[in-house]
Amino acid sequence: MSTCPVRIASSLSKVRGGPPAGRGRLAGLLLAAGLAIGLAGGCTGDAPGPLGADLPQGPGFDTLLVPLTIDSLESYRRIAVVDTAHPFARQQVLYLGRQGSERSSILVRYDLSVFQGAEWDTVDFTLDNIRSVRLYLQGLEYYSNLALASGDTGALVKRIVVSALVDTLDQALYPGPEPAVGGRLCSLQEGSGQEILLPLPRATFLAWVAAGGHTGMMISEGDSIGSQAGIVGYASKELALPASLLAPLDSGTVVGPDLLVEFRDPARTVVLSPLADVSTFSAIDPLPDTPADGLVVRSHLRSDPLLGFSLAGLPAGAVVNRAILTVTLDSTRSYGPSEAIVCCEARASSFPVGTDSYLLTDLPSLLTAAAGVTGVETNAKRRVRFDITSTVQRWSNGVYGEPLLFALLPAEDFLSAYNTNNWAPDVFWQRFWFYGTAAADTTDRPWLQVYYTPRPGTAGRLM
Amino acid sequence: MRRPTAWRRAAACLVLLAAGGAGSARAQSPFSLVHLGAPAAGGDARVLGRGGWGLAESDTMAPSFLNPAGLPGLRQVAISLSGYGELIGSTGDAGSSDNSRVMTPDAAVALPLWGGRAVLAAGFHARRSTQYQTDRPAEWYAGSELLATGVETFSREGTQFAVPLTVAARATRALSLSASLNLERGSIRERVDNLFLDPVDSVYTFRRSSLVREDDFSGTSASFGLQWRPTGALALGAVFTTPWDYAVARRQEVYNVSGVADSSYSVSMPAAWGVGASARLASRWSAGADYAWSGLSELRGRPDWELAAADEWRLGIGCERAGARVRRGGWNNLPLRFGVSRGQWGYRVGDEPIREWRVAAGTGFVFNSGGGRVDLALSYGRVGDRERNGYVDDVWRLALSVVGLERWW
Repeated sequence: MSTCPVRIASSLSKVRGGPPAGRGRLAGLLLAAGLAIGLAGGCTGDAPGPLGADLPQGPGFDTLLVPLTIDSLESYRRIAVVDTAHPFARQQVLYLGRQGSERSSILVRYDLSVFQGAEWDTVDFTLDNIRSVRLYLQGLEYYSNLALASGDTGALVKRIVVSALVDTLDQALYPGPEPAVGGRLCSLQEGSGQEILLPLPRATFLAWVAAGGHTGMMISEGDSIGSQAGIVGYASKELALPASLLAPLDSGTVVGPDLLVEFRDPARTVVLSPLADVSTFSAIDPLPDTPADGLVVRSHLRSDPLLGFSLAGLPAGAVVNRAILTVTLDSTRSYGPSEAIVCCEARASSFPVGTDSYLLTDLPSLLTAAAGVTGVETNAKRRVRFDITSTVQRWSNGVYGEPLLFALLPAEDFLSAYNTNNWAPDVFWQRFWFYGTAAADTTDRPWLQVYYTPRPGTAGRLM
Repeated sequence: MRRPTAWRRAAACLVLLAAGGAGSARAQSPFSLVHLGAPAAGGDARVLGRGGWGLAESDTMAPSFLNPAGLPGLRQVAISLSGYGELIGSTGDAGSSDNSRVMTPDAAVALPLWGGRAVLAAGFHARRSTQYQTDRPAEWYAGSELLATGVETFSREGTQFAVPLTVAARATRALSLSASLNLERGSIRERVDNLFLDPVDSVYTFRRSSLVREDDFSGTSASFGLQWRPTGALALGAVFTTPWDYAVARRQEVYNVSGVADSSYSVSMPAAWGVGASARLASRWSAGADYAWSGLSELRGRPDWELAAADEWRLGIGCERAGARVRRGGWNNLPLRFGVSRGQWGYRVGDEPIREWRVAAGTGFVFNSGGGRVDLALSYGRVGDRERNGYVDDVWRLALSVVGLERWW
């Protein structure tokens, strides 16, 4: 009994008596069991839905990934890349043809002094004894199956003209204007990507032998009648590529622009490899000096764009979640086979202003692949996106203490992760022209899309 | 055969209550997505069944911890556990959602000293809770170009609670006082997930992204209570809780990319007070009312919360018919409780305060030995307003509390 007079015992009546003990216990247990069953069996929640989606504060929906679009370039340069293993005069492929305002011819010169040797004293160098003199070119098979203007695929029809050079061939002059030529030696219509045998006048050959040599020949595309636009490739004497790049060849074929001289007596064919061969690239489009007109990745005559962006719009301390560099290929100004395009990161200090030519052998120490896209075709407009998240994260985290630049390259050998071809970018004449910063359609312009999360305690704090 | 003690009965009921809550999907309404979260329904099922009043009550057979000043006179060790399950139907412009949850907001134990003239008590009292998840379809762009579609999910959960350590004593025959030291604790965990379901451009490698922000609250407050019974039929009660500061440790993590940041801030919580009265109307009938108020509009330390803060108040009125043990009394022996309450939450949604009203009814059972009891309350309430807040909740709540009494010496 409580001693507190103010205690209220309202939960228990002071009336004596009560229900039997069993009934009370049973009622309590039944009630508790019913409650438990109701809670366990009847309590199910709907799946989350949009109800309430407008309410979250703090790290709300829009705070997790804040978009930052950087659509202007802070810097732009073109860098030329020189391959000392394959300087221009020793390129593995020779180019011939015209497309647009671009033009290239093939120059060759042979050492005819071989016929001055004693072993040729018994051979008659007469028109009767020489069955034929032919110039033999092996086309790269890629050019036998091109997308044609008609919508079909196949080889380009080329009118090929061979002319004698006025002056002795000097490889050091090229790329450069075409040399002066004399009389036309041959004109023939053939398809690209195939073996071509160009017949030469026997008398001219005999005159060259008699003179102890010749100045050289130019193999060029003739007038537009009978030719389809396109610059196509043929094997040079330097070619060391897999045979699969070439159309099927006869056994024992000596690769290169050979001169085949067929004698009647003795019945034999002499194969002369050229003393020198080179492409002229006598007219090629200039590459843009500013990013407004485009960003161009060019192989064979290597040239690559070097881009700089500003991260000034990124709040201090922001956590970069992803960063995507997007460029758009302009198929109307691009050509060549498909290729992997690699976005490489570079420290700004590694590419000082004023130095715009680099050795290929130096690039592995200057560039690191950030992301690449394989199989970029040149015949269709497309977006090319590079996921350079980790690069931008390191940049924004101040790992290098200096800004980073981004170079777009074809898949060089040192970028082995993306080099799915058996050849290096010195082989094909390719041009990947990406829209510039002044493209009429703003969505075609290059831009860096960053998604970041602000970090508390910084300028981008969440609350 | 040994008869089950009150403790064992209470323990069995607690197990059943816990089992009931374990398997249920749990969520609240969209209102809990913001600010401090939804206020927890305080008090046991007996209090809830009569509209929420109890500050002026002192019942040694079913002690209420709403006002510890009512505990003196207790002759046995008392343990009390209260919980409730809710069915919440929420409606807004984006549709509707039915959710349910179980919560056990109050647990307490009281130890009488000096024949009940003084009482020591301790326990657990949930002040607020938040638990809700919402999502929406999302699209991600690079510039103006759609790159991927998916879902953004936001979830929020957490509880703020107090652990009161209380001493209560009778000052005079009509006056009792109490003082409590409250350890204020809690956390709120918010998580945003981006789930990329359908990448439009396969070149673009999306990653699942998540951001988790967890605030851990820690503070100390003090509460004081009094109960005065000027006449045998009338009782008055009051409680006051001092302002306190929450020291908040924040950890924010961004998943998928390395990003962890720790920071801290402080939130100043305003004082809260409540007054109540009860009167015996007849031998078994009594009535009462409570009014509680907290000046949460004075909350400081979270600018985003300050902008939406509002004063929190609640008014509860109800009556109770006490139980009886009349032989063959049948249902007439059952206690009956009825009540209504009206209140306002401590923050605004849609720039308008969240208002709540509720009607309740309850009953209970006494253990045979008189060593404890089980009480039930069923209530229906409406929270918010479509026009004012953009959302409205229809809430059915079934509350259960168990009180066990046992001599400890």
